[in-house]
Amino acid sequence: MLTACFRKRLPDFTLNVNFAVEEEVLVLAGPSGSGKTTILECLCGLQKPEEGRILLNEKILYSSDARINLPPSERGIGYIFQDYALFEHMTVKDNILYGVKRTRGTGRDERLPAVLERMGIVHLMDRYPIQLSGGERQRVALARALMTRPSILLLDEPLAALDRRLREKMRQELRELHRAWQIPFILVTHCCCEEQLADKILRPLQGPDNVSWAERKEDVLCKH
Amino acid sequence: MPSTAFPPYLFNSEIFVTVAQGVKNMMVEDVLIPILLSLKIVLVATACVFVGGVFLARLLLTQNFFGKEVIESLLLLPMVLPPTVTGFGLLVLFGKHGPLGVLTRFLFGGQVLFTWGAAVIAAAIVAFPLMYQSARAAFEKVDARQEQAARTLGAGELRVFFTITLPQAWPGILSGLVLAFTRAYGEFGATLMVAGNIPGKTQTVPMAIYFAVESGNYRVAVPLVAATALISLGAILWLKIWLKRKFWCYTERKMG
Repeated sequence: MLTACFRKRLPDFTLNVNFAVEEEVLVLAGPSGSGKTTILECLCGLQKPEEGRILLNEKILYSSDARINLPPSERGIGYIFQDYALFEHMTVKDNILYGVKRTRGTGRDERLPAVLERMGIVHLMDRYPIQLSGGERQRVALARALMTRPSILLLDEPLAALDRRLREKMRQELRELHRAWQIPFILVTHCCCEEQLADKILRPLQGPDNVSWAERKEDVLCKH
Repeated sequence: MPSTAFPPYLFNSEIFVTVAQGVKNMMVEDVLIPILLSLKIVLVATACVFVGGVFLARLLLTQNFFGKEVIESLLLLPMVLPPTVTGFGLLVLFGKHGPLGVLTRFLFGGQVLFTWGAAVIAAAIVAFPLMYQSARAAFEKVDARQEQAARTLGAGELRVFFTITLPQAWPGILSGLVLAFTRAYGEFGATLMVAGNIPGKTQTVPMAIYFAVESGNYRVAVPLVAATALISLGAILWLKIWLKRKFWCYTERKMG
């Protein structure tokens, strides 16, 4: 379970965030420029909020009171970038194995076959990202993130770049993936195509100089 | 001829002299020694420039502090200054009463001026901006998204640098390395001012060519010119072939 309650100042407005996700699919649906990607980046540690706290299964990822701000590498959060950010100079195989921790005694390829099988990318192993189609790139990005055994998966507009036919297929795959991995998924989107996946949808409330993404009016989660 | 070498025992040009003496033809000695000496100087200078240039390019790109522009400009200055001006500056700095001259005397007990060490310093200073500029441009082009992705996959900063940043910047860094190498090899003005033209000690290839031509000794000049053209061509050709071999797989082989 992830609990997020923080405030982040952006050039044009202040972002207020207050929600919790359990093993479900949460969709953050809002127009462009409402701070969706910023929320994901604050969760995984690529950006730092001004104040608040972020907890993942009782682990403190960020807390302004306790002055804790774990770096992205220690958060255990999978992040699928909008453009996938595959490592262009590595083969698909090296991409997928990048985040696997090498531990003595256990082979590093242990989980690989199952993940590849599920993603249907076994035949792509020796290719480079530039040789992949959009759908293939996304599957590689998903496999790469899942190989690190994340406690939660964040996806930035996962279906936006795909055509309609592929979109339906990926939506199905994401649903199956969620069922198989049993971890919270947070998706952000500006169109309705991802909303069908949602167990829960959160929409922003636009104020004069702030945007708030809150589940409840009262600050239940923020109380320590 | 100054008796103290700098640094005393690291590289000894006497070895090259002995090797060359075995060859009966004196022309070969006049030609071979400057080439070997030049290569020694250039390799040491290029190695220093490579490490320093890559390190400083990355450091100054990621850090922001007061006076950064001034430091960068000073580092790039030798690229726009006439080499004789750079040479004069080094002469003052490393001279008997210059701050660095006093320091080297204190550390090594000898003068660096008019030794092969001075030639290394001159070549390195003049070649540095080329390495720095190329490395900086290469680092600027690296996709920050991919570095961030590596971080979310559990990589620490050092691993991100060596597995993502450096490999992606490698083509640009390598071009800078070849530019620095060839520039250091061709260095003339600053070297002449701080290292002089002492045959077997500080006489590099450009120096040997100039003084051979000046004294009408074309039997020495022509082989040196040919060798220089070959070395420079070889360096550029090697870069082109290496880049193509190493990087074609993810830059050119696109699928339809």
